[in-house]
Amino acid sequence: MTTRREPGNSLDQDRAATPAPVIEAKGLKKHFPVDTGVIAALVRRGPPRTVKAIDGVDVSVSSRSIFGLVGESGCGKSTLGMTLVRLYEPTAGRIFLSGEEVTHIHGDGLQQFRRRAQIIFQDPYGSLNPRLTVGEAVEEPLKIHGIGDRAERAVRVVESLERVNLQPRHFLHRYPHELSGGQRQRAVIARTLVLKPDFVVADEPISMLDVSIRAGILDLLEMLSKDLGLGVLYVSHDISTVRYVCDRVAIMYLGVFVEHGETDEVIDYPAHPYTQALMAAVPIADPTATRRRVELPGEVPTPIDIPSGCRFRTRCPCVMDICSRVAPPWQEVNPGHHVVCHLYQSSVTPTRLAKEAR
Amino acid sequence: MTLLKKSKIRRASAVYSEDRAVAFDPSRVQEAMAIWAAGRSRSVFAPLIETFGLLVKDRMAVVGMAVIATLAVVGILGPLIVPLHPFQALRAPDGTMLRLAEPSAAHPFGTDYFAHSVLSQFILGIRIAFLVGLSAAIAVGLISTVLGLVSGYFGGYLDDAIMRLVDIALSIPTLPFAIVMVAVLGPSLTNVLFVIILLYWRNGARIVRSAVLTQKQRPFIAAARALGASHWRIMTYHILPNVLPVAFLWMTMSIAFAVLTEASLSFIGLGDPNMASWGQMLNLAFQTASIRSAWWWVLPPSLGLILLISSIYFIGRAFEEKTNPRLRKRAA
Repeated sequence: MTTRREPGNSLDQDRAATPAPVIEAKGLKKHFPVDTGVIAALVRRGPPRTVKAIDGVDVSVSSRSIFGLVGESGCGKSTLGMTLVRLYEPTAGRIFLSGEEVTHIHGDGLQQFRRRAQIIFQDPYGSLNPRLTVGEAVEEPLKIHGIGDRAERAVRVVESLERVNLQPRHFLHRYPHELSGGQRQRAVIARTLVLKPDFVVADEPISMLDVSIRAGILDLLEMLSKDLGLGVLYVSHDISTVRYVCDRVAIMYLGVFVEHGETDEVIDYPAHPYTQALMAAVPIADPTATRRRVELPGEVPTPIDIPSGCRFRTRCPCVMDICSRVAPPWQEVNPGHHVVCHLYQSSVTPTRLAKEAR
Repeated sequence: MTLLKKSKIRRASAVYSEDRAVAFDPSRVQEAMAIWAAGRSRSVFAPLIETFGLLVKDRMAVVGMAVIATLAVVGILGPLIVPLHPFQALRAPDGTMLRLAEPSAAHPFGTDYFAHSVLSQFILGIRIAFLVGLSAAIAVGLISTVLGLVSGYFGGYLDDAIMRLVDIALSIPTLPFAIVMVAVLGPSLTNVLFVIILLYWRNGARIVRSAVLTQKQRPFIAAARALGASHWRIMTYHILPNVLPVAFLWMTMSIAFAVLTEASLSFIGLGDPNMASWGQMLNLAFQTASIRSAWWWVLPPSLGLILLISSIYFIGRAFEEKTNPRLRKRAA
């Protein structure tokens, strides 16, 4: 997939509009206890250990926009998505939906929240109950939330299916096993949309689909975001697809953001050494192009024992003395383009420039 | 927009339309309802018919179903067709008791030591076997499905509590427990049933729980939660239909276990003395030392048990093949 976006096309317009964030998280943390249970508690010495899947993330997604979230497997990007729609209870931090705090709402408040914040999972084969027809599956959210009578629900389901380009006449009565992967993912999106949510997490929605139909689903997501004013958090490890649909992007490493900004800016001028390594791994569709390879040694450290100072220092090609002692603060390298790295602090002599990797 | 307070939730529909720019279009009701109505109408019996369709493809299951159907018909008609009361003492033309008479035209299955008709006892024994098997299976299926569903779905302390209870129940040796319980409670059909249910819910609960645990991990459960579905809805609407085949398989097996246990208890003399069950017949044959000589007394209940139990297993095996695709040999 190549970029479709003309350089600099949307940046200024988006900033001019600056819609209020539909979902916003501040200092969000999600830690999972590692050894639970009575025996583990008796045997263990010291405080209980936890997996720090998300360890202090600030994120805000505007309506009518798609926010990309990129990172390796296990960096916490799916956990972040699931925490934002309250499928996980956040350990610390606050979540706001349209300015309203939803961090710990429960009961009826949570029910209302569920109507407005939705999630699309990676696996379209497992996301649909095999015993429900497409129509029944799409109707279910309406029934859960007690919306409309039989006639109104029938219309809404039909409209929702039309919106995702599934002919209601052909698909309403089909079972999931009669559909292709792309059709299933469309059905899942229709089920999500029938509630008219404000915010949707798309957790790698196309990674299990054939390459030939990925663009169709991405176009659909983008169209829906613009038409319905949805804020979308698009979680992916595939940078090319992120560039294809996302307005803004954040790079995640070991439970935190290391860099975020406008998509084109971050992808064309990656600042953080980790982002640079990610970008260097993306194939370029040009046989004559030469590129510099950045290889990251080792594996992602376990999120139980996070390295001191900068989390990336154990694998960073430009690691310095300061990195193990001081956690780097956020720096603005370009307007709207932020990064956490000591390389960009004026007091530190940079060993390599940001644009060099490209 | 602010999040709605409880009092406003009932008006969700109205709020929904006000809030969202895209309200629903009433002019399309007819068209949409037509599309909905155009679907294949699926009766509630569809899964049953489907299952039956799969079972008739299995030759052994067909044999099993035929045997069970025959026994069921004979059992249901039992009181109408039995030639004689099972406990009526028969006399020979010379006035003596017709003890241990060999099969003859008048008494096709012969008579037992007490001059009772073996055929009448055998036919009425079918009723008892079915009564015990079916009621035990229904009770066991109900208890183990509910406990397994709750335990597997909620997990945590509730799961621990139920499963430790199952562990304790599983550590009870089957037959000694049944013997002691019936001896204490007194030999009656209800007590025998009670003991059987007490013994066989345990395995079922664990089997259903394991099925629930795998279903719970499927993404559509998380999707349902994200859509706001209640625990009740997820359990009954999304998980239960997918674990029912497993529960049903265990119920089938319970029929066999229950019939066998009742027969065993009756054989060792703990059956209901007022009922002519198959186990009871074998017990009397054994006690009167006729088990080697009066083959016409011993064979009918023995063959009845073997036929019934193996038929149930044939059906259970075919059903297991249907629910477990890995065992399915031929393509559907």
